[in-house]
Amino acid sequence: MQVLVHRLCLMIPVFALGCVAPIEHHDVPYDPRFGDANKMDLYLPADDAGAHPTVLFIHGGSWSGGDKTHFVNAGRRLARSGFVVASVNYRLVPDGVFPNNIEDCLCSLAYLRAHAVEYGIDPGRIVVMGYSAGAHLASLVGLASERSELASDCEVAGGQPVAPPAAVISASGPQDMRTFWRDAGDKAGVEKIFGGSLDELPDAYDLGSPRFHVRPGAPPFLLLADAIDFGGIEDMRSALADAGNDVRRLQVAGSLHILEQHDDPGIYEAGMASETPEAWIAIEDFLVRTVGMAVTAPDGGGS
Amino acid sequence: MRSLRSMTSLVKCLAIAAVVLGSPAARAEPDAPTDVIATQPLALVARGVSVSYERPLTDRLSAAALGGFRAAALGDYGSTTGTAGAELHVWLRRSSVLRGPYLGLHVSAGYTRLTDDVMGYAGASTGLTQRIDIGWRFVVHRHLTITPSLGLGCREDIDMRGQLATTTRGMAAIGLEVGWMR
Repeated sequence: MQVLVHRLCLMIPVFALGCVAPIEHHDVPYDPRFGDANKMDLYLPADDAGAHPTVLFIHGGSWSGGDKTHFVNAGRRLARSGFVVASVNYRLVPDGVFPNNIEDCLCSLAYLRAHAVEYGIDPGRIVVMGYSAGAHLASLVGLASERSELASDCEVAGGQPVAPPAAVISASGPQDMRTFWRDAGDKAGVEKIFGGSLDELPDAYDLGSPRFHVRPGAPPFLLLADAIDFGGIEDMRSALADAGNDVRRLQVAGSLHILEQHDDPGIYEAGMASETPEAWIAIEDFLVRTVGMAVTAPDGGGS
Repeated sequence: MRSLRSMTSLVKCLAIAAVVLGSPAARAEPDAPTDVIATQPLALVARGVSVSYERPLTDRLSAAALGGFRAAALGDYGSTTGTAGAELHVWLRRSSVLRGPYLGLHVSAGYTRLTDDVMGYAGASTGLTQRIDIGWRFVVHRHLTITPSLGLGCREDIDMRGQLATTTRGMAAIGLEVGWMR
C-alpha cells in the first residue's frame, strides 16, 4: 500500500519534489546491552551550520509495541528544517516494565549530549517529544530526569541523574497513571507497565506519573490532546501553570490520536484526522519560542 | 516555488469549479437529475461544515465544487480553516450520472490559521490534497442521497511562516456525504 501511495504521489505534478534530503543514520546503538531495543535513528540536516536544535522522538504503542520508524516522515521534515532528530526505541513490556522504559529514554538523552559534537547537536537545545505512551515518557523525561530512582546505569549516563531537556512536546499521552489505571477499560494492560496494580504498587504509579513531579522551574511544555482528553492532560496543564511554568495545551476537536503517523482519514480538511495542521503549527510555534529554528526551511521536499 | 505550486493547485480547483458552475447541465432526459447539493455530517465532529454542489457534464461525467470551514482548535489556542476544492466523477453505470458507483478525482486546498490565546498569531499552513476516490451514491425517495466513499491520495503541507519544510505524504480518506438531488 505504501508503495502504491508513493507512486501516486510521484504521478501528480504539483508534488514535484526538490529537496535537500537529510543525512540518515539508522540503528545507532545508545546502550548496546539491550540490542535492538536500545537503538535510535538519526536524521541530520544536510548543512554545516554547527550546533543544531535537536528533537528526541519517543514513539507510542501502549508501552508494549511501536517502533522508532513511526516518526520517519516527521523526522525527515524536521531535519530538512534544520533540526537534528533522534527517534529512539526503548525496552517494551515485559522487558520494559517501569522504570526500565524511562531509564532507556534518559539514557538516549544522555547519549545525544555525549555525542553532541559528532552529530552537530546543541546540548542546551534538546526538545523531547513523544506521542501516546511516548508522550507519557517524554513528560517524565521533562519532569523527573533528575530523580535518582530513575537514573540509568547505561554507560553514557553512568548511574547519574540526567539534566532535563530544554522543552517537552507531549502528544496524547497519560500524565497521571493513577487516573489512567482507574479509568482504563483494560486494567491488566496498564498493570503490565508497572508489574502490578495500583493497590499493589502505589509508589511506582506515583513515581511513574509526570503529574506528580510538577514543580516550579520545569521546562516549557506543549501538551497536545485528542478530541477526548484522557489520562489527565488538562489537569497536567493546570498543575504546570499553577506552578508558574510555561505551558500550552492544544486540543483538536474531531481528531483521533494526535500525531499518530500511520493513518490519516482526513475529510475535506474538515473531518477527523490524527496528524492535523493545527498540531504542526503549534509545534512549530513552540519550537521557535523555546529553542529557536536553526535555518529557514528549504522549499519543497517530500517525506 | 512554493507559491507557484500552491497557485497551480488552486488554478486546477478553480478551473474545475468554473466548469461546474458555468456549464449547462447535460442534455436532460425525462426525470434525469440536474444537480446535487450535499454536506459531510462527520465534519461537524471537528466543529466544521462542508458543502458541495455537483452537476452532470455528460451522461457519464459530473463535476462538483466544494467548500468547507472548521474551527477545531481548543484549549490555549483557536483556529480557523477554510477549504475550497473540486471533484470530477466518472459514473460507472451507463446512463446513470449522479447515482450508483463512481470513480472520482479530488483536488482541494485548505488554509489553517492558528492563534495562541496569550501570544496571538501562532502561524498558518496551507494543505493541498489530491486524491482518487471510489464511492457509491444511493438515492432514497428520488431526492435524498447518501454517498460513502474511500479515497487514496497525497497531501502536501506548506508552512506559511517558511520555517518548517514542506512535506508530502500519502493519505487515505473516508467520506460519508448526505445530500439532496433535484
